[in-house]
Amino acid sequence: MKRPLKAVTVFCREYTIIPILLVIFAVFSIYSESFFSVTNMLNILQQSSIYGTMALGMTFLIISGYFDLSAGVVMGLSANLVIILQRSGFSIGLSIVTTLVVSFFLGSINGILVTKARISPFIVTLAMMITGRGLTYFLCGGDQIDSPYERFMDYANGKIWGISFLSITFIVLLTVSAIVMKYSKHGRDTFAVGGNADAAFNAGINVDRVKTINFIICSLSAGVGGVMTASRMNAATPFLGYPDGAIMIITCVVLGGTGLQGGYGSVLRTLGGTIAYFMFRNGLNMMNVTTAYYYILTGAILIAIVTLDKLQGKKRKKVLQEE
Amino acid sequence: MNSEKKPRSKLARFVSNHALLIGFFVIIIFFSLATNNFWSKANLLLLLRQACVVGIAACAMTYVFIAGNMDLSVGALITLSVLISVDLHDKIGPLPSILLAIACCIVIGIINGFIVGYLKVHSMIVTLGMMMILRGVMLLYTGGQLTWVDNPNETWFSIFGRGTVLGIPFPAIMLFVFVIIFELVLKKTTFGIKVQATGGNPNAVKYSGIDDRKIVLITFIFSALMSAIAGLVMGSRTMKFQIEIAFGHEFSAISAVILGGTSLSGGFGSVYKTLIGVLIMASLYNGFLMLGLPYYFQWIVQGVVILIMVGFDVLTKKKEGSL
Repeated sequence: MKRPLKAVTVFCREYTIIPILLVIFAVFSIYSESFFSVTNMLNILQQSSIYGTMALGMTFLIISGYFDLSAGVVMGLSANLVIILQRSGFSIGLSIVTTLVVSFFLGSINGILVTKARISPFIVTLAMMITGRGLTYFLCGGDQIDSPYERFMDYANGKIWGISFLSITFIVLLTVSAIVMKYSKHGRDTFAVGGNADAAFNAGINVDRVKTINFIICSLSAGVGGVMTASRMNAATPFLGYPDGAIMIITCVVLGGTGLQGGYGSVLRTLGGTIAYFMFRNGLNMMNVTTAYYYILTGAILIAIVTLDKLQGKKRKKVLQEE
Repeated sequence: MNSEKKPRSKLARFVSNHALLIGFFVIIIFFSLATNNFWSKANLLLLLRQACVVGIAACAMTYVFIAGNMDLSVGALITLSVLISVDLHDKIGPLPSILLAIACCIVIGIINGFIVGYLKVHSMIVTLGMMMILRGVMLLYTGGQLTWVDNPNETWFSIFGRGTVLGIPFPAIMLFVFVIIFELVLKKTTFGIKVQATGGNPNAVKYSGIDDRKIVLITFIFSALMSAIAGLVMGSRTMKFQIEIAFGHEFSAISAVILGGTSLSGGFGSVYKTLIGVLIMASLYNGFLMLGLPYYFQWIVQGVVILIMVGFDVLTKKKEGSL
C-alpha cells in the first residue's frame, strides 16, 4: 500500500506542473459552467499554440543555460515584417519565407555575439530587444498595419475536425522538438552544454556551435510565432511583444519545471506549463474575472510555483543523497 | 599573440580605462554640432530632468546587480509610488501620502528580497511575478481610471519634480547626491565590500561568515526605496497617474547599469558609471528628437550603442588578459 503512494509522491514532486494542471482543471470545471467542454478545451489549445510554439524554441535555449530577452520583440518584428512585405507586393508564401529568414539571421547575430564576441547573452539579447523594438516601429511607422490579403487569415482561423491549423502547427512542432531533443546528437549536446559547459567542451562537443544553433532555434520559433500572430489578426501593431513578451515565454517554460540554471527540462514540460498558463487565463475569463485579478493571481501563482519547485528540489536532492 | 608582449601605449590604456566617458563626450559633441539647440542651457537642464527618474532607480539597481540579481519590479514600483503620492495627495495631505508611498514600496522590497535572498528563488521570476501582482493591484484600485492632483501649482509636493535650486532642477540635485552616497557606501564601507563579495564569490562569502541572505535582502529594499523616490519625482512632475506611466522603466534602468559596465554575474560595478550610462541614454533620446528624426530611431541606436560599449569593454579586457 505504501509503495504506490510513494511512487505517486515522487512523480508529483518530479512533475510539479501535473498536479497543478489537474487542480486548475478541477476547480474551473466545478465553478464555471462553460469551462468543461470539448470546444473549450480545443479553444485553450488554440490559445496556447502561439506562445507554446515560441516557448519550444526557448526551451532549447534555456536547457543550454541561457535565455533570450529579445524573443518577444522578434515576434513583434516578424509580425510587422510579414504584413509590410505583403503590402509591398510579396506573395503570402514569399513574405512568410522572407520573415523566417530574417528571424533566422537575428538569431544568428545573437548567437555569434555571444559565442564569438563573448558578450554576456543577457546584454546581447537586451540590446537586440531595444534595437528590434526600434526596427519594428521603423517598419510600421508606429501605427497598426493591415494585410492586403483576406486569404492570409485563413491559415490561423481555418480548422480541420474542429482543430485549428494553429494548434496543428504547434503539435507538429512539439513532436519534432521532442524527437530532436531526445534522439538527435544536437539534443544530447544541448543537455551536456547546459549541465556543464567545460565538461562538454572536454568531451569534444563544439559548445559554441550548439549555443549558436539554440539561439537560432529560439529566434526562428519567435519568427513563426510572429507569423501566426499576424495571420490571426490579419494585421500587426508595433506594441506586440514589448516589454514582457519574452518574459511571458520564459514564464511558460519555467512553469513547466525546466530550470533556468540549464541542463534540465523537456519540451513536454513546456507544453504543460503553457497549457496551465492559458487554461488558467481561459478559466478566469469564463468566470468573468476582471484583468486586475488575473494579473494578481498569475503573479502570485508564478512566485508560488517557482518557490515550491525550489523547496521540492531541495527535498529531491536529499532523497537522492539518502539513496 | 604579439599584442600581449608589447607594452601598451599610455594613450591606448587611457582610452580603454575611460571608454564610457569618452563615448559620452563623443555623443554630446556630435549632437551639439549637428543640431542648433542641443547645447543650450535650457535643453541641458531639460535633459537632466528627463534622466532623473531612471537615474535614481538605477542607483539601487546597480547594487542589486552587483549582488548577482536583477529587479524587474522597478517599473511597477515607480508606478505604485506615483499612484499613492498623487491619488492620496488631496485626501490625506502630501506628507502622509509620500511616507505611505515609501512604506508600501519598502514592504514590497522586503518581500522580493526575502524570497530571493532567503528562499534562493531566481530573482527574475520573483520580481516579474511581483510586477504582475502590483499591476493587478493598481488596476483594481483605480479601475483603470486616471487620477490627478487638483491644484498642482499650490502644493509643496511639486518641488520633487518641478522645483529648482540656484537654477538647477531639484531632482537632478537629488540624483547627484544619491549617486555620491551610493558610490561612497559601495567603495568605502564594509557593507559595500560585502555586497561586492556576495555577487563575486558566494563560496568565499559563505566561509567568511557573511550572511549573504541579509545582503541580498538589503539590496532589494534599497531598490524598492529608490524606486519609490523616483516615483515621487515622476508623480510630482506629471501630477497625474496613469497605469502605463513607467512602462518599461525597469529595462531602461537595467540598460543604464549595463552600459556602466557593471558585471552581470555580480561582483563589481560602479554607481558613478551607471550615472554616465543614464546620461548617455538620456542624451540619445533628447538628441534624436532634436535632430528631427522619428522617436523610434533612439531605440535602434540605443541597442547598438550598448553592444559597442560592452563589446569594446570585453575586447580590451581580453587583450589585457584579465578575462
